[in-house]
Amino acid sequence: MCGLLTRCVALHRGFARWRWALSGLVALALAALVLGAPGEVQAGASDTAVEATQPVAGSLAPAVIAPPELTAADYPSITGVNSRVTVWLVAQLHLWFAAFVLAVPIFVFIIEAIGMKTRDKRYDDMAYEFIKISITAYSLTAILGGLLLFSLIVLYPHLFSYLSRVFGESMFYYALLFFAESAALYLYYYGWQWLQGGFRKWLHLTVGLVLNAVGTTLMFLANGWVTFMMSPAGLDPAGMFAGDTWAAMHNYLWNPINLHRFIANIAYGGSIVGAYAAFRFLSATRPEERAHYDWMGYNANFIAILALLPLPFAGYYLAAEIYAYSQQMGITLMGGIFAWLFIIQAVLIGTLFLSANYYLWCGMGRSDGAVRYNRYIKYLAIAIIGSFLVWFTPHTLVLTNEELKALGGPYHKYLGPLGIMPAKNTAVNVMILFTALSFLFYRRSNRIATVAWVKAGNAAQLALYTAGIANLLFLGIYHGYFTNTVYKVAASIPQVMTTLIIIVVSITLDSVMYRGAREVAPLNWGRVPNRAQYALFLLAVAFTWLMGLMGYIRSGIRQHWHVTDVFRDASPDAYTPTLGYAANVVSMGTVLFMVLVIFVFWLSQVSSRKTPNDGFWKAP
Amino acid sequence: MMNNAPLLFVITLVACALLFLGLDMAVMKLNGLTLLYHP
Amino acid sequence: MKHFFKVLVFSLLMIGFFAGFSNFGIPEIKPAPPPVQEQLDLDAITPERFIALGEKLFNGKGTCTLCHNAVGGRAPLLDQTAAIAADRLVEARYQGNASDAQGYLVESLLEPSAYVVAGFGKAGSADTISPMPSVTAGSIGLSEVEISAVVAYLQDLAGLEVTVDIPNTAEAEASEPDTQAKAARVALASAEEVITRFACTTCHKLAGEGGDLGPDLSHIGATRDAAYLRRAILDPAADIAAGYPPVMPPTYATEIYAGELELLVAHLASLQ
Repeated sequence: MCGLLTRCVALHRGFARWRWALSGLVALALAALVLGAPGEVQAGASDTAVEATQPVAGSLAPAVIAPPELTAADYPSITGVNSRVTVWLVAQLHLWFAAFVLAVPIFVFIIEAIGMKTRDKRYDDMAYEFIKISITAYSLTAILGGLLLFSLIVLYPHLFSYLSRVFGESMFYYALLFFAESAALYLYYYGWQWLQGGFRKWLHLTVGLVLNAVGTTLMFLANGWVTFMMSPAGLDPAGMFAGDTWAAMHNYLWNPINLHRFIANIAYGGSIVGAYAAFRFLSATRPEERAHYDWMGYNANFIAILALLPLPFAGYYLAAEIYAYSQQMGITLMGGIFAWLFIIQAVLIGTLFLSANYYLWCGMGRSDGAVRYNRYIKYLAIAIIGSFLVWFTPHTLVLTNEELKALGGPYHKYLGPLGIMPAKNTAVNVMILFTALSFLFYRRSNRIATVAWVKAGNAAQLALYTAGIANLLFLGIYHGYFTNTVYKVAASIPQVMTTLIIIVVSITLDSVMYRGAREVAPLNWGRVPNRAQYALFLLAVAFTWLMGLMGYIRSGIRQHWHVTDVFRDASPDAYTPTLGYAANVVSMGTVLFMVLVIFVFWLSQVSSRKTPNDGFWKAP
Repeated sequence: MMNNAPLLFVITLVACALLFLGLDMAVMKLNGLTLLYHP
Repeated sequence: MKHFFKVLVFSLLMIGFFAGFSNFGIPEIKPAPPPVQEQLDLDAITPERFIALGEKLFNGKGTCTLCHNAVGGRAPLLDQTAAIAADRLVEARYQGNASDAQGYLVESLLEPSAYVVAGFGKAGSADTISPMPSVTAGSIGLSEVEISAVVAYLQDLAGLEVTVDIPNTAEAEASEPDTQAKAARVALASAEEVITRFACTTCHKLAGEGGDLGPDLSHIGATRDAAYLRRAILDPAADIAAGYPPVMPPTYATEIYAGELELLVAHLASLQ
């Protein structure tokens, strides 16, 4: 074990020095840009006297920053390189890796804490294995960040100049915070075996907390820049920025994106780690290995589902704030040219829920006591698949002219109504509820309750679910089809709350009911069919693709604006591409990401390989 | 009574239904609306 | 290794499915290209063509149909608005200042909260605040002429006589909204800000730094008084300094606010 660790450390030390250098380089680059940016008047820039460039020498007043009016000539191009696709892919790859390296410390911290509470070393070992996977990913995140920065500077210099003048200070802090992030991450990882036992373990956990705090702050800073582009704030009615960076950062969409990305990162991180575990499971040769990776995969899936459940609500909140900022933007998003994108999203989310549930159902086979629940699984499947079908039913149909005439309109007479939001909300709430129910069944599968009030408890659970589903249907159908828009939108809130209340109450009730429960038999970790592992891969691939799609919509909703309604995009690529095109770029990105992630996973096990000396070295 | 599952089911069902309805009314009221739509 | 390839093929298949669905499973909608600032040729415009312009704006640049349509229920239908406008003016709920139906139509574009049709107000505002975005700013950016065109279209849509004045080109140019919305800009509070905003140092030196297309103003207060400086800004052609090209823009007269001019003149006059 010691030898293994020494090898790990030796291999990573080389990378570590390089990462420090990269962090320093990024910090220097940003410093140079922020300090040196103002004052360049490039060829082809606007002739109007309105553009503020240099502050008057000797003046103390901050420059009022006007958004420039650009022309196509202001965008440098590299032959054979499509600027938009380049920045798009690099930004998305950066985001995928960043989501992963931010997510892993969150659940590693929690797992470590659980291990400390239960004194079960398996948790500690698993946490350590998770963080090991993310170390190389951290390098790639930094590389892609640097590449993104350079792409923006080279291909969109005016945009970056503008953004760096609005956000200069925060960009500086962002770069400097990476010293803290790196320090915390390396200390957390390299110090894992050293900081063991008693006070040192608490110290180690604190380092993990610091790591998470710094990582979250970094994400919040970057979120400010990107949401400013979507829903700018801190500008006067003429679009001029007068220096209030906090107002610019604290725009309409900042907190919704913060919340959504925080939760989504956890779900995503869980799915990537799950894919890692699934692959190690399939390639395992010994039963103990299979058992270990099966357990790891289960935990990863659990983390992914746990974060997946509240995610649609965070997404809904984000969309609601988009509407609040600009009705037009909101309508374009869901009722205009991007409406069909949400049908694609529905397919992807349905895939996620189906995979996660399928994995849980397959996993029930680990328990000898699961047989008694087998007959209920088909009902869960029917409910989830039914909801998925409702969710992905479009409002407007894909029809030829003849079909349009025959049908008398673009909507199906009976299925069309399922295409509107209230039906979708009901469907997703039902999916979430039944996923929680799957999880409850899984938990129960290996235990027999010993409390006296089991029958009562079960009756209560059943009643809770029945009342809840009835309420969801009432809110969805009555308010969805017999009232107006304002009521329809408002009714989605009690729907959300119903689902969340049921989940919390039922899990609490179940925990109490199964206190002191008898185990049927020890869980047979490793006794799970190979196809269950494919469900984990599907989870990871679908999540990645979905994130890519949502990245497209986040950026695409700005259409031909760099900063909505303020700074117009005058580049040759300013047009909004078709969804098919966007899907192709996202697919390309997903494949690239997969290749890089495979490299990351492979690397994490390379360090444990040792080739014996066969005469290469001189005899001592 | 605690062991009469069907009875407990009905009681809990009614109780939960009322609670959920109360929740609906409270949330709609907070938004300046009523539970039922009066055009 | 066998597992690696199986997983790889499985993943590629799934990605292919998602991409395939996005390309072939949904209708291919080509979003409209970014709008270009159209030059309105109004010299020979007829009423019919003006109404047609209004219709084009209504369905295009004005993005009216995004909300004002029969499907979404987000905004009232406008086919009879011109006809019932007069009735709205006398209602108790009317908060605006229009005196006739045409004025009401223009006002409802510029000040939509003056009268919010029942049931269409922002949630929680009891129909006193309209969720309608600004039609003169940002991405819609309709000019005065374009607003007239839309009103003409609405009047025609309701089957009424079009009462809007058909403008000619000269009037149209005078009412073009500046995309930087200079008219809405907040007055600057110091000479330094004014110098920055109008980029004087592009052509003049101040405190020894700047361009040399125009005279060095670092010590201009020693040789020129406030009256001269004021005239030089408002009417540069009145006296071009010897040896310099006559290229100072004459537009400051219409761009600079009176207060800002005084701040600037006072500052320059103090540079001894």
